[in-house]
Amino acid sequence: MTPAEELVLPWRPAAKKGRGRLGLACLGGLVVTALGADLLASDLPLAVRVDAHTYLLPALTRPPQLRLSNQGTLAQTAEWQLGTPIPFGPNQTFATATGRTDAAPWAPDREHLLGTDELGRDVLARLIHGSRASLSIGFGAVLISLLVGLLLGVLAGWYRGLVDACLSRLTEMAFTFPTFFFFIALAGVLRFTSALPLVIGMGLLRWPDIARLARAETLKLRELDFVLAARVLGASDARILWRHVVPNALPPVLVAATFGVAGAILMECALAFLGIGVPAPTASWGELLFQAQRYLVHPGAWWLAVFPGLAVAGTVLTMNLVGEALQDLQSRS
Amino acid sequence: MRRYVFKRLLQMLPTFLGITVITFAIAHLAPGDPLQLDPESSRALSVQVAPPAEPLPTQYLRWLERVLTFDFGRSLADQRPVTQKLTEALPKTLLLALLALVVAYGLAIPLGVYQAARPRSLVSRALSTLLFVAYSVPVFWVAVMVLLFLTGGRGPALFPFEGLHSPQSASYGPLGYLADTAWHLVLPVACLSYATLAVVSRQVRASMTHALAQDYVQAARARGIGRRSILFRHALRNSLLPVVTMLSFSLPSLIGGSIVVERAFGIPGMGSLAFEAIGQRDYPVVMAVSTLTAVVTLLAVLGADLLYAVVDPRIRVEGPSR
Repeated sequence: MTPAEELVLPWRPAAKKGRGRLGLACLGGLVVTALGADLLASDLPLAVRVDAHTYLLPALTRPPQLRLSNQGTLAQTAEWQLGTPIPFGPNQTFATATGRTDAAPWAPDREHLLGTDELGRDVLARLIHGSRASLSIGFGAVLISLLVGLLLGVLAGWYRGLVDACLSRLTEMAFTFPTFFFFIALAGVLRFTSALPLVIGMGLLRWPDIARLARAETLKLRELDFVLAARVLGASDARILWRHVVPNALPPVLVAATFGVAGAILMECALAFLGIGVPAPTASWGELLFQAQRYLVHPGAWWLAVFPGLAVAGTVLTMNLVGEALQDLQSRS
Repeated sequence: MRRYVFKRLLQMLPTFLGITVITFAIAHLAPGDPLQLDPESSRALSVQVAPPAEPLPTQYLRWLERVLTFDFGRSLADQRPVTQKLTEALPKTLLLALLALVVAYGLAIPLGVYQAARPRSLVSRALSTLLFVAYSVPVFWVAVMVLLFLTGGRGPALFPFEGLHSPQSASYGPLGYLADTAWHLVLPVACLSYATLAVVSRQVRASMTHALAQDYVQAARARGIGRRSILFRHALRNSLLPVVTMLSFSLPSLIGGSIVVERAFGIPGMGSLAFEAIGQRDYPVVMAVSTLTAVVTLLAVLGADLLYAVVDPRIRVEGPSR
C-alpha cells in the first residue's frame, strides 16, 4: 500500500482485521458443529440409566439394547438421562417428546426450534448433521482441485513452451465446459450412491483458477535468484519445484482455495437444488433446500426453505471472510 | 489486430474439439437409452445413431461433421429437429444472461466509483458490507425466497410466478407485450445479476482506489481540475482495464447460473432444455446443448479478450503473455 492509499483508507485495516477474526471464529464453530454433530443432535441421549444399566454416550456407541428407544421414550422408562442439546436425530421421523399427533410439517415452536419437514424430522437436527456433508464436500473438492491445479500450474509455469500451451488449452477447456451439464450427465451415468463422485467431479472441474495462479507465481519465481542458486548447487528440477517453487507459490493459491471452498459449497447446493446431490436420507443443506422446493406452491412451510439457505449463506460468508483476511495478510507482507 | 484475432481463434480450436470429445464420450457412455423410456422413438433411433457396429471414433467423426453444418439431428423425445429446439431456447438464455450482464456492470461501475470516491461515508461502508454479503448468498436460495415472498405465496403478488409471458400476452399489443415481458424478467435478471454485481463493484472500487492514489491524480488536482472530471476522465479510464478482464470470467458464470434461474422461474431456455433432455435420455439434444453452450462461452471469452485488446494497445502488439 502506498502512503497515499494509506491516507485514503485509514479505516480499512482495522475493520478488515475484525472481519477476519469473525470469519475464523465462525469457521471454528462450524467445524466443531460438524465434528460434534452426534453429540449436539441425536435421538439417543449423552448418558442414560435404564433397566439397571448405565449407558455412556449411547448417541455415539448406539448400543443394540436401545435400538428401539429415543429420548422421548427414555424419558418415560429411564431412571435418569442426560439429553443432547437438541433431543432429535437427523433421520428420526415424527420426532416428538410431547406425543403430538397433528400432521407434519410442524411449524417452529419450543420443541422444534426451526420446525420439521413433512416426515416430522427436526430441521435444526438435519441442519447440524447436514453441515458434515456440506463442509466435507466443500473441503474435499478443493483439496482435489488444489492438487491438480498446483501440479498443472507449476508445470506450465516452469517448463513453458509446448507444455504451457497444452496445459493452457486444458485449463481453458475446464473453464468453459458447462459445469452443470457435466454433473447432470454424470448423475445419469453413475447414479450417485455416495458423495464421492460429487467431490471428485467438482474437484476436477474447479482447478483452473488455482492452476492460473500457480502458473503466474511460478513464472515470477523461476526468475528469482534463490532458484538460480538452487540450480547452481546442482538441484534437480523436481527438487527445485518441490522444495523451492511450490512452497513460495502456495500463499496466493491458498487464498484462492479458501474462496474455492465457498464456491464448492454453493455448487453442492445448486446441484442438490437441481436434484443431483448426496443420496437420501443423508442430510445436506442442498438436499434440505431441494426438499423445500415442494412447498413453494403451497407455501405453508416457509421455514423449510429459509433456514437451510441461511446456513449456506452464513458458511459461504464465513469462508469469504477468512479468504479476504488471508488475502489482506499477504498484500501487507 | 487481425493477427491477434486469428491467433486467438486458432487457440480455441483444440479447446472446442476437446469439449466435443468429452460431450460425446459422456453421452455415449451413459447407460440406458430412450427405448427404455419410450418404445415409440425406436424409429427415430434407428435413423439417428450410427449402427453400433461402427467404432466410437468413427461415430464421433460423423457426429462432428454434422455438427459443423449445424445439423444436430432430431430429438429422440418428440422427433423435432434439434436445431429448431435450440433456436427457441437459446435466445431466452442469451437475453437473460446479457440483461444480467448489462444490469450488473451498469450498476457496479457507479457503485464502485462512489465507494472509492467517498470511502469513509456511511453509505459506502454499508454498501461494501451489503455487497460482501450478497456475494455469499446462493442464487437459487434468493430465487426461492423471492418466489416465496414476492409472487403471492406469502406476501404480496408483486411479480409473476413463472415464465416469460402472461398466458394472454398475445392480445396485449406490442407495447403491452414488451411491458409484460419486462415485468416477468425483473426477478430472474435480478437473481442472475446480483452476484456478478458484487464481484465487479468490488473490483471497480479497488482499482479506483488505487488509481485515485496515483501521482497523476494528484497532479490533476494540483492543476485545479474539477473533482468530477478527475474521477471520470482520469481515474475511471485507467481503472476499467481489470474490470474488462472480469468480463471473460463473468460470462461463463452467468451462463451457468442461468440454468438454476431458468429452472427456478420456469423459463424454457437452454438450461431447462438440457435438464429435460437428460431426464428423457434425449442424447442428440444433450450433446447439442452442451456443445452450443461451450461455443457460446468460448465466443464470449474471445469477445472479452478482444475488448481487452481494444482497451489496452499493449495486448494487441505482443499478445497476452507475461
